[in-house]
Amino acid sequence: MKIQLTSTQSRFTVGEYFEVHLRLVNDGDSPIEAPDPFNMENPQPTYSVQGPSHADTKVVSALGATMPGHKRAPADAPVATITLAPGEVLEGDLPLSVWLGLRQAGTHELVAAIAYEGQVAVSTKLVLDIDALQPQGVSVGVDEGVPAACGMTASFIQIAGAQHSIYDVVFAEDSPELGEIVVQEMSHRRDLDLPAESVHVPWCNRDRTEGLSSWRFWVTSQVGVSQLRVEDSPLSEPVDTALAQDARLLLPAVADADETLDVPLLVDGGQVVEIARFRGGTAPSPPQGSLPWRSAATSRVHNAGLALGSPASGNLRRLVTLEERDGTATVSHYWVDGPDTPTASQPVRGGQFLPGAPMAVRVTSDGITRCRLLLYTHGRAWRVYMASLDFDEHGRLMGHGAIATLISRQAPMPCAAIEFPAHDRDATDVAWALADHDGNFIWGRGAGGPLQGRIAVPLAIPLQLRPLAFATYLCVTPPGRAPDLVALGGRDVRA
Amino acid sequence: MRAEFHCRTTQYALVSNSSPGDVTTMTPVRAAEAVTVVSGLLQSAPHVLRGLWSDMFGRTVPSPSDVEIAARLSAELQDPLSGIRLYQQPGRAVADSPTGPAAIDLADLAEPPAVQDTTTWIAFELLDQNDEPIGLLHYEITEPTGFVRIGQLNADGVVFVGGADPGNYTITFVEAELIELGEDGPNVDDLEDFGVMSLVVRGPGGQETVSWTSDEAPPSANDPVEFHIAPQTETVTIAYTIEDPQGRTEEATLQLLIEDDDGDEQILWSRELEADQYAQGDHEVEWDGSIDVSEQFPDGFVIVEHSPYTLRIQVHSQTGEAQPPEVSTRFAVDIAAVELELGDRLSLQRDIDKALYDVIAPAGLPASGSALDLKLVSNVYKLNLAEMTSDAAFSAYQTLWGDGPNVPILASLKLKDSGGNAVDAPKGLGGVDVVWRWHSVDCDTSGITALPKAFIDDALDFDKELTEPEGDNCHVDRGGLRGPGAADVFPSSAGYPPAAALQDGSCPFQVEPDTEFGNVSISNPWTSGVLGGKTGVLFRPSRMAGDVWNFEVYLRRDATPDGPASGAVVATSGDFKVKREIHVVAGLKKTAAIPSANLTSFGSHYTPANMEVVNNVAAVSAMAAATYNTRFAAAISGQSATVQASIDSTVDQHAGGNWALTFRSWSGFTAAIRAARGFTAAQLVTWLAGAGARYNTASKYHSYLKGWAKVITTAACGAYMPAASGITVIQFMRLYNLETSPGARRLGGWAPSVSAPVRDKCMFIMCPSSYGSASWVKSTLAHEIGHQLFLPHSPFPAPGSTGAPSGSGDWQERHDSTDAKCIMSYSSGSLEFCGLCVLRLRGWSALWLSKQPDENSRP
Repeated sequence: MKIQLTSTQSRFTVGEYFEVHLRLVNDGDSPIEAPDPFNMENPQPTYSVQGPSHADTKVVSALGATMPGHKRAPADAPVATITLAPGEVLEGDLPLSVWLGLRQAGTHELVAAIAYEGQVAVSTKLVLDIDALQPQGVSVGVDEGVPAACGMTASFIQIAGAQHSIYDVVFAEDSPELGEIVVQEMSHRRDLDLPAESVHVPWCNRDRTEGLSSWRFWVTSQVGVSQLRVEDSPLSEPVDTALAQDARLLLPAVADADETLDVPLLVDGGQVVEIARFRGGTAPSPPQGSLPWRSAATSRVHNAGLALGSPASGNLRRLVTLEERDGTATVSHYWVDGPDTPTASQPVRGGQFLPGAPMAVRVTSDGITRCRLLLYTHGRAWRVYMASLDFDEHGRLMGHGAIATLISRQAPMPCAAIEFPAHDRDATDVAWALADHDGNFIWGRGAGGPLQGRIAVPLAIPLQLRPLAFATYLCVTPPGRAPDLVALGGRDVRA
Repeated sequence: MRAEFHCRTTQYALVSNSSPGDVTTMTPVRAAEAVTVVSGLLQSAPHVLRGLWSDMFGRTVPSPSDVEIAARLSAELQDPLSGIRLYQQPGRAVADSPTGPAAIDLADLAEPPAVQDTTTWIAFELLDQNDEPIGLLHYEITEPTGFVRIGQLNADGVVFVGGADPGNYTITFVEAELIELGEDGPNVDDLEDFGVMSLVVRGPGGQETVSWTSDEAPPSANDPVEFHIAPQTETVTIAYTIEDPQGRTEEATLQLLIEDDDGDEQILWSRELEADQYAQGDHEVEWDGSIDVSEQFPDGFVIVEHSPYTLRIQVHSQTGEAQPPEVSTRFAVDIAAVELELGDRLSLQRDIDKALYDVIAPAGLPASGSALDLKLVSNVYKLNLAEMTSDAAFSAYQTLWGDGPNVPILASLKLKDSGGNAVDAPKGLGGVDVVWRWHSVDCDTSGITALPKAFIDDALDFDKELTEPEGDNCHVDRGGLRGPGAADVFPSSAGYPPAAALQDGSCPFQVEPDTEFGNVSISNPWTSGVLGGKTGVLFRPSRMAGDVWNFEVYLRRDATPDGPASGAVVATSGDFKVKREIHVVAGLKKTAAIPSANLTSFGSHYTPANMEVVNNVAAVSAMAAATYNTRFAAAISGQSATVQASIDSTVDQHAGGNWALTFRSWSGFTAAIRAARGFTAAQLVTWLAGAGARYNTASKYHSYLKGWAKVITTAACGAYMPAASGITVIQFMRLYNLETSPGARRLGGWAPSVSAPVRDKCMFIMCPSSYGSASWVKSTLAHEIGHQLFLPHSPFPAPGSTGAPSGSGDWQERHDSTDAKCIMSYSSGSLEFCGLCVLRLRGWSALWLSKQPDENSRP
């Protein structure tokens, strides 16, 4: 009996997903009974890995690696066997990267072994070179109305020397009730010929795996010229769009069920909002771009939020801008694909925009645009408010809006975010979070909170807040590791 | 006072000037006419006369005769200074005859003497030979009609009789023959001694008080008074002896006295005896303890409040000094026993309290030395993840039970009767203040595993000896009721007046917290009504499981700063042990072939928290195939198109196996995707490289199935939750069919949050692949239900190690940092809840609890 391990690739990055090809051969002249390597409840074969990640050799089996509840595998676990006829081969791929825990860069050696009923088989060493991970510019996409068990797509820029690359990550909410996220997969997507600080994943109004397009976009700059680069597939070449020097991306961009990506841009000194639109789904041909809509504001725009309605409602596109007119915050609502003038505007007096003017925009199933934004005042205390404005299906302001105090404290917090829950288009329990650069945060959701706590690993900045069905997450960027999502808890903020 | 009656068509009101009531619509009746009315009543309706007398002057001892009443009433009405007046309602016809003692019917009343305007008056003065007035002598005036008026001279020997018709009157002094007149007055040397010789109060059983005369030393105020009476409940005899062979006594007074705080005697009540009552000889008067109604005696009976009492008779004569002039005796009205009982359910307002009442009522209150479990049903479960780290566990439980359960308690106050028996005598309780004083009984942690015990003991030792009272019940800073500023254990109540029936949802008694002692409240008993002789409170111990309470009840009179004085009559309750109770309300399994899990055993893990898990499931039942398939089909249809492609809609999900869900193989999945979307081969390649890259190997595809199965199964099983509050447990052998395939992930079970979570229900779905290990089922159920009860994972094994739980680190703040064996961890071995989990399960607020055990202590 022979056991063999092979891999199409020997070089990976810390945390990168890979599978190893296992081949079990009956090289004898009589049938043999052997543990089934592809039964995940089997304590055999065992896989031994040695290297920087495991100074002492780590030995793992399929059973031990997949035990429910992170329990240890029982020592007396039964062995599920297969019978191999003489010369018969059993082979397949195993997700060993998930089992081996290779968290340190360096060369690792992997050996598979079977010892069963007096038969012993040991594979030759498979050498795996693991490169360090140095991520930056992470972006976590949202698929509106989709359980996070289906996965949340994220991308980041990996820097290895001068080489910038895009890596994709898929998070899945393994236990919504416990706020437990697993990294399903981290994989290399593309090397970049020009550096980029960040890469962006658009938000989708459906499960993004239902379409063909897999949108990413990023900005490169070279000798004072900025380009917006957009791709709809790792198989296609990105399309470039020249950006004015003062142009700014307004996030998130949105992708709809018709393979269309809309990227809002703020140009012309911050007074013009325009939409760069791309059509994809034709990989390996690059996507096609256009600038279908622009609107000139009367004053400086601090932020704008683009939101998509559901596919069932025709992928409605609504844009809300936050302007400052004569010292007063003004919220304006637009129909993208419609006139370039707002359907309604409403001043919100007395408050100032937080850094980045965080806002959340959502188009409900019945076509109402909900906008929530964070404002602050700083008198004796630093006080943060949430303004709520809803616009009906005709674009008219519903009521006069409302404002509520979220938190009052002495010291400001420099980072802020506010988001609608991703899983339900019509959910109203908007989440908000404030944080400092030391990982201290205050957050709330709906009527709950505020709660405060601290996250020991660096937060992704700008904050990427993801309220899901039962837990709310912040994106973190632990050094040398793949970005992650951490569920928020915390202690009640004491009055 | 005011007493009303009517005569013919006229309504009269006999009023006293001290409290006449409203007489503005009435006109005063002239004295002569008033006397006529009284005379008429004496002739025709003496019972009305007695009623009027009783209403005006109360019940007196000895009771006057009808003639005496008429005479004294007439005298009062004729005396301009007496303050008693008769008014009439002019022209007011009486439509209906009022009932009651002060009302008479016209048919009962004979024609009264004609009232004539020609009436005159008679006045006379009786003097002795020295022109000194002879007072207090009784007289009889025989009128021309033969009607005899009876009366008594005043102290100056004068009488005024109004309303006299012209004619001849005969005046007779029936006692005159007793007065021997000499030339210069009575011959004192020939007079025999007179005086009051003894006075005792005698009970029906013959027990009697001791008397002393003014010639004898009175008993010390500190001497216990051995003779008690139970007002209204028993009738005693006041027996006294007058030595006065020559009838020298001119005045005798019966007095009731107490000693005030300075030791001075204070007359509470006084009554002049009639002549026949102080005549020579032994006298006996029956008495039920009634006296005049006054502010001090609102019910008109002697009461505990002023006890002991001195009863005294004084005699006087102008013919000389009585020997002895007075005699006294003492008696007491006192508490014999305080008996505690469960109050009436009607006093409770909240349904949750009524339900608790129904549970404890059959056994009643615990006797001193025994204990009663107050099991607070609290199916309170988390709604979202954040509630595991916030203080939602505390606030949700607080929302359910408020400051604690309300248990109506009655204290029945028994009085001593003359025979030494404890009897009900409500009228003796007027004005009594009753003290309710609670105590914190130390929590027994002896049965708890060492590390949790140490943590709990530290937390219990928080101002343990500094609060009033001392104890280790949950401190107010942790949400309990021990310590300054805590809510009252005996909540204040306005109460309501004694009544024949209780009001719904209201404590009958006035209850107020003592201003000095934090653990003391004061209540007052009812002296009549359905709860006459009783007082009570709503007892509201904290809702914190593990707290143990008891209380004492005694008279405020007997209170000292340290509790009841030595020898005081005290009732002590048994211990009330507060516990929480949660329910398992449904148990289902996919097929009968799946071994039924023991849904009871895991409750033992909750014992340290004093939380009882009640299994209301008689037997785990199998799910019907049709219902199962319908519910799962509905759940699948709610998923995205990609997820739906992983399941063959033609597969009978119920028949597929003992797992919850049957998925397609990877090749089947990709084929379904291609077919459903009309992909060309090239498009499928594009999809698997891009949008569908996460599913581009079998292992990757398998890795998602656990999550999808959880979402679908949770959605489908939500409909299996019954209406009852509590836990639903659902069993499968596995979660899905491909669990052993490469990349697949398994799980033993999960405690899902259903799509529309409610506070009072939760679910646990088990799919452990083997139910062979009873200990696994037990600990897993305890762990998962712990999540539903707001407990997050424990940070053990340490972060970074294999099997370490994820989380932001806030989780760590909710667990004992020294206890790696918390059952909420992923540690191996014998696990129990850590001390911090136990305290949160008990209901404590986590706000000020530290993960460091010693930081929770404040000795």
